[in-house]
Amino acid sequence: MSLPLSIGGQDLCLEASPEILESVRLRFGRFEGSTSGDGPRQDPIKLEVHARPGGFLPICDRPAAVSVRAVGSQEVVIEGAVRGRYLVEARRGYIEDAPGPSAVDALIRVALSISTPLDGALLMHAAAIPTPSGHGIVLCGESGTGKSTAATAFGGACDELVVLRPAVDRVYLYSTPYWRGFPFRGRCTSVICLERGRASDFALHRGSTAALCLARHVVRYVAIEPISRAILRVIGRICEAARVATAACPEGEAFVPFLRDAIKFDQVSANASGPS
Amino acid sequence: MGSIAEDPGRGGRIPEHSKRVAWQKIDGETVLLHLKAKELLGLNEVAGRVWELADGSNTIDQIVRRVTKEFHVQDEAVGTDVIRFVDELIALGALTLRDD
Repeated sequence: MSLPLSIGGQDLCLEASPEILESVRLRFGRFEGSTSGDGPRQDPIKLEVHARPGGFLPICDRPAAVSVRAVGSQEVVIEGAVRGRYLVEARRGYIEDAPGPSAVDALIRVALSISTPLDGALLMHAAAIPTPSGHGIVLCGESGTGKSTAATAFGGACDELVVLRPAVDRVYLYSTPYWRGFPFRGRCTSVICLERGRASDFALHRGSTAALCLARHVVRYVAIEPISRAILRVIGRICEAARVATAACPEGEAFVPFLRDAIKFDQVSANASGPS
Repeated sequence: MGSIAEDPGRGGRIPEHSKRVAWQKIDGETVLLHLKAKELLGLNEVAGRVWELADGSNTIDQIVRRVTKEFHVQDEAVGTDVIRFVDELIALGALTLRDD
């Protein structure tokens, strides 16, 4: 059986037993279907999930600790709690002995991180914040910089991974299922990189500085030459079509008001009352 | 590999871009990406021009002359800066050197 998913403007086709697909649907069901996005039309990425009889636990799932390494420029090996492979050009992957949905999650992340740059987009560590006008703001940041706090405060569509896809004169933002995400696609007006450990500050950037800011937040599990080149091309297009800034925010109760003020969050359907 | 600053014949040597580096002009600025690393390297205007000229078609002397003329600066200072910059990029694996 198969389950079609649309994440970040990419179509994925998940092939697995009905039991596995049912549990995957619980986690990714909001993203079921095919895309009508802005990327080039391609066949879906095919991902197979295999499990031992009775070995897939749909409820009592633990995060799958996996490592990823490239074998040449066309193959990526997944090792650790789950074993599998992803073939770059063929856009196909599989995992064996999947213990639960988190293993499927790992396979999808690997596939998206590899396929998006080659498809003209980027998978970023970021939260997606829709605005009332239908546009979106991206908040990039490492763990602990406040993505989730901001996403909770400002009605984020997701708070861990987003896809940025440049078009002719604009950049589109796609939410992902990570975490508790709901589907959102809109024009990305700003990419704000959250920072900590320095005095509160908000600064707009262009050129190489903007590129450096974005590069730190691209999801990149393996260094494969064509993918690295593609990442740089996409970063360049994003920098030329969207506003890029850094925001060093104060901690505690001042975090959300500072961020709202700094990036004109009056445009956002804010339900903010303070940090979580 | 030793520093080219210590190489008396450096002026006739030709720097060229390594295949291990991707680069891109973004809003008029040059950005380098080492393909095995995650960090980008942003170059200022002069450094970006040196990078463009270090494409395997110019000797170091020719690059110094071009930069001197284009940026209206003194030859000696430019020569020192260009050699230091080329040295840094060689150390990063971004440039390789060949003889004329």
